[in-house]
Amino acid sequence: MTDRKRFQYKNCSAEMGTLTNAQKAQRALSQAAIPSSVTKSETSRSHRGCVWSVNFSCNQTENVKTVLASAGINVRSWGGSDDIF
Amino acid sequence: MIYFDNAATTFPKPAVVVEEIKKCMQSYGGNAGRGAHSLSLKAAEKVFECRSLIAELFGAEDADRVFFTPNTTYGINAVLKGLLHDGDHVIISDMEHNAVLRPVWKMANEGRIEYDVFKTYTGDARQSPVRICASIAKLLRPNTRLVFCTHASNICSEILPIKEIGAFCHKYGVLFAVDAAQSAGHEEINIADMNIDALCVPGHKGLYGPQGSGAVVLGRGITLDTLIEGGNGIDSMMPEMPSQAPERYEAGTVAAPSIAGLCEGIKAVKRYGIGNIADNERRMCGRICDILCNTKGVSVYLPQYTGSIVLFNVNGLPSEKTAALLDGKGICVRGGYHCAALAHKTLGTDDGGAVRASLGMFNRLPEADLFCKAVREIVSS
Repeated sequence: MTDRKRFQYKNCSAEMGTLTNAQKAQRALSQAAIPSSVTKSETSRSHRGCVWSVNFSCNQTENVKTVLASAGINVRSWGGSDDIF
Repeated sequence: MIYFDNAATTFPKPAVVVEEIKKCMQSYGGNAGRGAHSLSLKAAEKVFECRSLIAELFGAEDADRVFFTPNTTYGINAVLKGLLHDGDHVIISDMEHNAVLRPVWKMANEGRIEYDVFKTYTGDARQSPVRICASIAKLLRPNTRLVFCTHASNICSEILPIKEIGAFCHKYGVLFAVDAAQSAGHEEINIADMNIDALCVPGHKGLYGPQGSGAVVLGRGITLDTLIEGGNGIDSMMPEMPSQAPERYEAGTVAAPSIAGLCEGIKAVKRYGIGNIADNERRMCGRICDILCNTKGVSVYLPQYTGSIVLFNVNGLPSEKTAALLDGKGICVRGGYHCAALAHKTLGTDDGGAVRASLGMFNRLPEADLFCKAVREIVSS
């Protein structure tokens, strides 16, 4: 696997805060045909404790940002999977 | 058995409701919003589906405008205590249930707020939205923060003109909240069109969910102080409740099996059609009123309002005695005051209360006829 391909399949995440917000994000991404999953982290980057995120392929990051912005869904922070999990 | 106590709780529930509750408890009974394992996430998906359905049904901006409560009373308390601050003034209607009157009275009795009661002119032939709004206007003060009123009475078939009241409130910069305990699932409600800032709905009445389910639907931009605080699955290391709705208002485990049942109840109501349900109830209500109004020895209150409730008394009999006699004939109705002191005073039935027959989606005209026959038998005996 080339470095480029490895990058394409790496998971990125959008930290949403609440589960409902993460579910809203997943629904919006699904409607835009962008696969994603809802996950939970016990240790957010801000050390506030449990936080819900949506995970998606890093090569979709710009599309994800566009979809969530147009759906009016706020993102707490963005990160690669290695940054958060 | 004839069940005419649907205003207390609807019965029976659609089979799909019972099946979904069972399915939830047997196959996806994790704690929604806590763990990230498959059972927890599956329960959370169902909770989100129900949130989305409720948001769509009542015209909310999005699913995060909906938070779950165990019943309407909890939701009303959450809204009243979440919106009103010390020194505020609130106006309620003369048809309120104790779910509204009692928390308002307690806050006022503690000296924290003040309240007034506006006239709905219930039973008055000259009743109109303009007159009702004028009665609110007379009570407005600079510190009036909220008007809270019922949509449909729980003791008669009166429906208040909430669209007009909502428009009036917003014109004067006053928040507007509605108790939809008797109208959700019976009447079309759109919080955006009706200028409603907070709508309190039961799950177990006109939406045909189980007892233990209910919700509050918030208008755009409305934020409440929390009624209770505790764990909600996010920001666990922080001592304060997170600001994000709806989890901000849902401290403690949500009742996933009840919500799962409610979800299927709402789908059943949508399949049948709120308009069809209302038409069927009105037809039966009209039939009962016609027969009982022509029965000597029976007093029917406000038969001019036809909806899902008929309020009456057999002359000379305490309302609870009549209800007990009907129970003996296999008919479930409720006598007494129905937790609605203000409304019974407004109707003049505060000396002994009255018998309430309340209809639902599963009742049919032959039951209405059997019910009237039973009342006539009680009169003649």
